[in-house]
Amino acid sequence: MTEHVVKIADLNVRRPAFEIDGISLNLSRGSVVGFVGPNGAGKTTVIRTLLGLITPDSGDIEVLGHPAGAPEALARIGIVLDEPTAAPEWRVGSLGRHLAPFYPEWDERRFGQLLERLSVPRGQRVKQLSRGQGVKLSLAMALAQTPELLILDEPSSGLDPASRREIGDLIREFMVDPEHAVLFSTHITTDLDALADELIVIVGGRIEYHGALPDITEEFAMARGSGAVPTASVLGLQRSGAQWSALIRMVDSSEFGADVVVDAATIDDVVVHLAVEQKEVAA
Amino acid sequence: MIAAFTRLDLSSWFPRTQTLLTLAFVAAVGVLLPVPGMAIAAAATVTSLMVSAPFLGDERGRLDTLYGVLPISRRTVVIGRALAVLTYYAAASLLATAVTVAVALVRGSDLSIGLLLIAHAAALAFVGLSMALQLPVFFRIGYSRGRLIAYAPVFVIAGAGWLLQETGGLSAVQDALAGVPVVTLASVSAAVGVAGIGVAIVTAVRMYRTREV
Amino acid sequence: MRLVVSTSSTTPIYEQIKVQVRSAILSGDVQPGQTLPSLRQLAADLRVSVITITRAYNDLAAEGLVHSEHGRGFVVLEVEPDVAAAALQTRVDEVLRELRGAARHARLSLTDMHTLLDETWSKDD
Repeated sequence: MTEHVVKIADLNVRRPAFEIDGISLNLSRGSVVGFVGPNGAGKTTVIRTLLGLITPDSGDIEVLGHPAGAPEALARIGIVLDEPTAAPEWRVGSLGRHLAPFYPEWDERRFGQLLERLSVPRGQRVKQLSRGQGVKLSLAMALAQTPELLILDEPSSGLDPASRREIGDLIREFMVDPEHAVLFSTHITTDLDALADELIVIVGGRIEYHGALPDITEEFAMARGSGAVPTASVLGLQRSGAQWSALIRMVDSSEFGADVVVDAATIDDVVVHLAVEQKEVAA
Repeated sequence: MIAAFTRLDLSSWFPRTQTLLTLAFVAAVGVLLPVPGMAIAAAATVTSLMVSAPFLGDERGRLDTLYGVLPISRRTVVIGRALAVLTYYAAASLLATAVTVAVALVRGSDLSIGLLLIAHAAALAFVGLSMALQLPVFFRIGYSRGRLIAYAPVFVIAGAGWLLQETGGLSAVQDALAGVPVVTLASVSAAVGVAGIGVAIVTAVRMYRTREV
Repeated sequence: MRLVVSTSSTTPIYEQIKVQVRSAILSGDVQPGQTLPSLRQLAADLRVSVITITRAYNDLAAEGLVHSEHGRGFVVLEVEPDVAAAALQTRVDEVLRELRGAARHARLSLTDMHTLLDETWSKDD
């Protein structure tokens, strides 16, 4: 069994609306990987490329030991998008009948249990579900396939806190098996706090950070002050009137004087400031 | 896998009211127009128009994404869908035949087997050519950008008919075909239909292989 | 062994877990040869990420309290009685220092503290 569920080497995708600029990354079994970045940074493009929905201009992709989009790989990936991928006319309870023929490991009993636990009404048609129910249905479908890799693309926007917590619980339960892996793309970075093991920050089609999530607080810090910005090395600066805030490397924190407050950086701080920096470099 | 996909595809668009209405239309033509063979022609015509229906459903229900992530090849999707369209055609044709026969029995009019045969063969030829024209386009660019092509086959037939009539070619064609045995004519038509379906599938597979969904 | 984590505490979660597991081992609540709860099951139960538990367990392994065995997970090691006693004593010293700081901050006298300690000691909770 290979150690990595996903191997991407020097991926390039150039389209009028989006661009992936030489991304390389490996995802290990046993890890929940948070995938964050501003809108249009390329998160969805990377995901669609590794599912084989987009053909890259160049680069090598291996998913569960197969090329991107290979049926053998897709059979073992559970996919949760912000809307369920199911015909609007289908009834929730009949989805198993429609999908089971394609997934050798489809677990109809588990599907039923998940629907009950997530309170998705079996008798409803897919088009009658609320947005939140749609996401929950997607998750139930994905987990009922008994996948090895679970990919979530922005599932939590528009979900209430209780539902987001429910999703987190199901992901942790999925991760009890050390062969499993999760790639979780989200804007709601607090969802990753007690869930993700690794974090990937993507900005402008490039990976700006990839490391263990707890390390982010050891690697980065936020410096805040007013007036002149110190000459010390800052990664992305934001101003609001005379006030400024900057992402800095922890190792550089001693370069700042007593009038500058240095404290812990959150995932959002890192994303926002790395995005600012990229824009400035490009300008 | 192909059969499973055909079932899945049919379940997403066949049970819809719009689809069932087109079948009702075929039956109505058979009952209301007392020309034998008209219902069979209607079955081919609605099939030609219905080729686009599943693609419309794809966009409404984001089924293109579902089909993209199902663990089956793109080839399976194309062949499965072609079979789904042909299933619809078979249903429409059966209905048309049943209505035609029933109407003939009720009216006590004669119904020649030759006429049924030639009508079905011509219908198959039309459906085959129509699929060859439409499937590659819809698989490549989807319903919204390709929807005008849905009307192309009907226009082509109407245009050709009109041209033949204007140029006086119609009677020439009729004269030329008059001497040909019905079975030969039917076989050639059916062969054209089957070839059309083959071309439709081969071309659509090529078009869909690298489609970004 | 009962573990409780607070997500609002300023102490990192892995630190909280480490401290609680360490006390459980040193006090004999978990016996040598027993395995710690599985990393992944514990992560799911406590609603924290796997890496959080991994870090706590790895630190305990570095301290020589547990040992990672392939296929079994983290197994509690034999702790020398004097080492355990010393470690427990260190822990008490730490808490006492913290208590002293808090007491001075609250301007409580040593007599006040004695009284409070007597009260707390006799309460059984």
